[in-house]
Amino acid sequence: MPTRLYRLHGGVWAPNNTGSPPSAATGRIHHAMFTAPVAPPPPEDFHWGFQQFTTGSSYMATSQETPAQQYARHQLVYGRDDVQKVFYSGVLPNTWRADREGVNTGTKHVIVCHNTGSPTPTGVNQILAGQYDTLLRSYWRSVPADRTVDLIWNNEMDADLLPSEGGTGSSGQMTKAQYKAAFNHQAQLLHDDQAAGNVAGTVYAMANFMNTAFQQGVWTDDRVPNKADRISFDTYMNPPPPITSNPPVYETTGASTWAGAVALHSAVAARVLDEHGNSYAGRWGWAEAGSPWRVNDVSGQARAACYARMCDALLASDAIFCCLWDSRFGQWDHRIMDYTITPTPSATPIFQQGVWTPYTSGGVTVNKEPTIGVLRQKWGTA
Amino acid sequence: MAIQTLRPTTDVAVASWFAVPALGTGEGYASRLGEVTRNDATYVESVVAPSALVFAVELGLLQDPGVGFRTGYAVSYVLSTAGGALSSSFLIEIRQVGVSAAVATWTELNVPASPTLFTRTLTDPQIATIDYAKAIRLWATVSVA
Repeated sequence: MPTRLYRLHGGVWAPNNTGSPPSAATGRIHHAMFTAPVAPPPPEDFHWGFQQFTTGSSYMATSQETPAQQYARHQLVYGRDDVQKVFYSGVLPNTWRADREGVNTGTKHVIVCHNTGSPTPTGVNQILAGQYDTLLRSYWRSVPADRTVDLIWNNEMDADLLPSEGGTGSSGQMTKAQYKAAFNHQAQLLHDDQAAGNVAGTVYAMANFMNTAFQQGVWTDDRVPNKADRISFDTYMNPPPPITSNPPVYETTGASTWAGAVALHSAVAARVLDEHGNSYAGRWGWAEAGSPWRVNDVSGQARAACYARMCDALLASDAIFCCLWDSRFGQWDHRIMDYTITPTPSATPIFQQGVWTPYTSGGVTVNKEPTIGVLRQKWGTA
Repeated sequence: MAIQTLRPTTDVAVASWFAVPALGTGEGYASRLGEVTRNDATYVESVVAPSALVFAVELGLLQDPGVGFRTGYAVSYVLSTAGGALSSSFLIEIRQVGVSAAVATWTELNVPASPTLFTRTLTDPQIATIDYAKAIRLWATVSVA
């Protein structure tokens, strides 16, 4: 009887000396893949963007990047950065700042926030008395002809309303009527100047609200100034565990999961159109969205996927922009960078800053995939 | 319609399997299955006469294509048997990290000796169970005699 060979574990061939036919049967897997459709790229007129900060605000001291550096990083990492949100915590500057709101040389679209006057009864009276008219005119008349500016007075106004008026904070001082009067005064001033041919750039008066007001059930139509050209909402994906060091206004109340956060924000998107009878279709967006590092998402994958899903809700609701809060300031780091943090933030403070190390999974170092890849696919830059 | 393709990237459960060709430094079993252009000369192979032997790899995150586009999800795999197998069972499952229930399962019986392509599509109810925040895994439970 000839010697028979059979294959042992490891692919080694060995003689069979048993005299009976051995079982040499094995199973092989040669190839595998999973395919699914990709969402169509967003329409060209939908602007994806990121937050930026300016000097003169309380943010800049700890944001660690200049607007130009941040814009360059976004272009490099994400492949596109269509709109930025720039903050002036006090009054507007007299003129357009090319090194701040002007860093976007692509789509040339920027959101500029300011608190000229102040969100208080005194500030409102100053605005209504025309104390800042010259300054405001000077600014928007300096906007270059090829630029688009969404100008927000009193960003996240909901927190500055009196609690009795549906304010989301405890120290708000304005009534809704005062907010609207101050906003409308500035909007009318802009519209009159535009009608007179004094404004070369494209400038919109945009009102800005917080998703929290929806979640708390205090948001009502009557806080939208009737002269607002556009409206926007700041919204965050913050499911539990609680951000103990965060103001509670940033929590996604009632969202126990990432999917829950998406559902809540999708509901807001639908409600905006419903409550306004589609009057803001094509004239609204999310001016802030995102999430800081979470203990249950050290890699950022869940945050990126959640954000991508939230954007689907926007695209389905005729929004025109969405800004990912993608900055690091203070102890909050919202950037999605395919990097994890060492040590893993397992206890308060959740957003401790540490040493950034490449994200690894199963012994494999991941470089710009899959976290960033999720967003690049969404933005058509993969 | 553009298509996204997930391929094996990370080993999850590979005990009692070996790779052909043998793995080099830093290589994973997943690399033998995830080539862009199918190559049947590279594969993973079980021990002799496996009984409910598990092989699992991670394919990464699936991007949600959004409402109206969550259809036509498909899984394809190439299987074979060797050594004169008389019978075989490959239970193929699509799973997700941290989720006990499989998204979808298929059983391939009496797989031939020549590499054979199987293409299976997910039903809409199966697609509806996918959590896009959790990585997709391919899970094979193999018995060959």
